[in-house]
Amino acid sequence: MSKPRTIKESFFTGASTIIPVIPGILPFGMLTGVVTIATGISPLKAIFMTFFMFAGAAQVSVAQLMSENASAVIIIATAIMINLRFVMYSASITPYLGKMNRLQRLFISYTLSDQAYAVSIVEFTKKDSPYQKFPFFLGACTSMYVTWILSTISGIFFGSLIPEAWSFDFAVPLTFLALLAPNITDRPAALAAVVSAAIAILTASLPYNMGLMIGALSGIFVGYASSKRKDATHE
Amino acid sequence: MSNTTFWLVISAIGIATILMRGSFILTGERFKLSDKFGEILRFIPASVLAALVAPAIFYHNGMVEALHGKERLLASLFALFIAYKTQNIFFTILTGMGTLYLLQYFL
Repeated sequence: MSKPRTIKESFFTGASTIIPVIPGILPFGMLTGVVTIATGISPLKAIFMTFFMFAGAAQVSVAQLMSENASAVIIIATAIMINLRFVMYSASITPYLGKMNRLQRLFISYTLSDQAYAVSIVEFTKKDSPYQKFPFFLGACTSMYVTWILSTISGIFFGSLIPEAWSFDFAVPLTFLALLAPNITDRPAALAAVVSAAIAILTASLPYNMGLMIGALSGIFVGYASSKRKDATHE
Repeated sequence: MSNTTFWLVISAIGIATILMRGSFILTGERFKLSDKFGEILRFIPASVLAALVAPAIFYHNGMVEALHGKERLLASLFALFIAYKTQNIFFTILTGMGTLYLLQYFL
C-alpha cells in the first residue's frame, strides 16, 4: 500500500494525467474551432460557443446544423442527445467524490468531460489508489478545460493552417480508443464494448446521434446481463 | 439564423449541458446508488466510448473511398491492440498515426 497523497499532490497528479491525452485533444479542439468558423459562424460567436458549451462533438454538430438552417428545436435536441452521456458520467463519478461545496459542485458540473472522466475513473477503480479523489478529479477537469479552451480558440484562428494531408483528425478516434482500452477489464466489459460498437455502427444513420445512445445502452445491457449470468454460474 | 436566436439556442444548450453534467454531481448526497445500479454503471465507460468511436472509424469518408476507410480501420484495430497491451495513451496515438502514414504510403 503506497502512502496517501496530499490534496496538492492529488490535484497536480490529476491535472498531469491529461498530458498524454493532449495529442488527441489538441487536433480535436482545433478542428472544432476550424469547423465552427467554416460553417459561417463569426469568431466571436464561436468563442462564446466554446466557453458556454465546452463540448466537441456537440459544438461541431450544432455549427453544422446552423449552416443547414435547421430549426432551433432540432439544434437544441441534437446537442442534448449528444451530451446525454454526461448524465451517465455524472452518476458514475459522483459516488467517488465525497463532500464538495456548492462552488466546487458547480465548477465540476461545468467542466466534466469525456477525457477527465475516463482518466479519473481508471484511477478511482484501482484498489490501492493513494490519491484524494475530489482534488484528483478537479485537477483532471481543470487541465482538460484549459487545454480544450486554448486548442479550440487557436483552432478558430490558426487551425486552417494544418495541411489536410497530415490526417491529424485521426488522432481523435485514436484518443477514444486509448481511453476505451483500460475500461476493458473483463469479458463482460469487452462484450459491452463490442455490442455497443456494432449497434452504434448499424444505427449510425438515425437522426440526432441516437445511434450513440442506442449503442451505448445496448452495450451496458449486454455487459450487465452477461456479468449476472457469470455470477449465477459461479454460485 | 438571427443573432437573437443564436444566443438563445447556445444559452439553452449551455444550461442543459450543465444540468446533465451536474445531474448527480449537484444532487449527489440526496441520491444513494444501489449496488445493482453500481454494477450497471461499471459498463458505461466501455459502452459509451465504443459507441462514440466505432461509427467515426467505420464510416470515415463514408463509403466513397473504400480503401481510405480501410486504412483507418486497420490502423485503429492495431492501435486498439497496442492500447490494450500498453495502456499508454500517447503510445497508442503514436502507433495509430504511424500505422496510418505507413498504410497510406504503401497502399
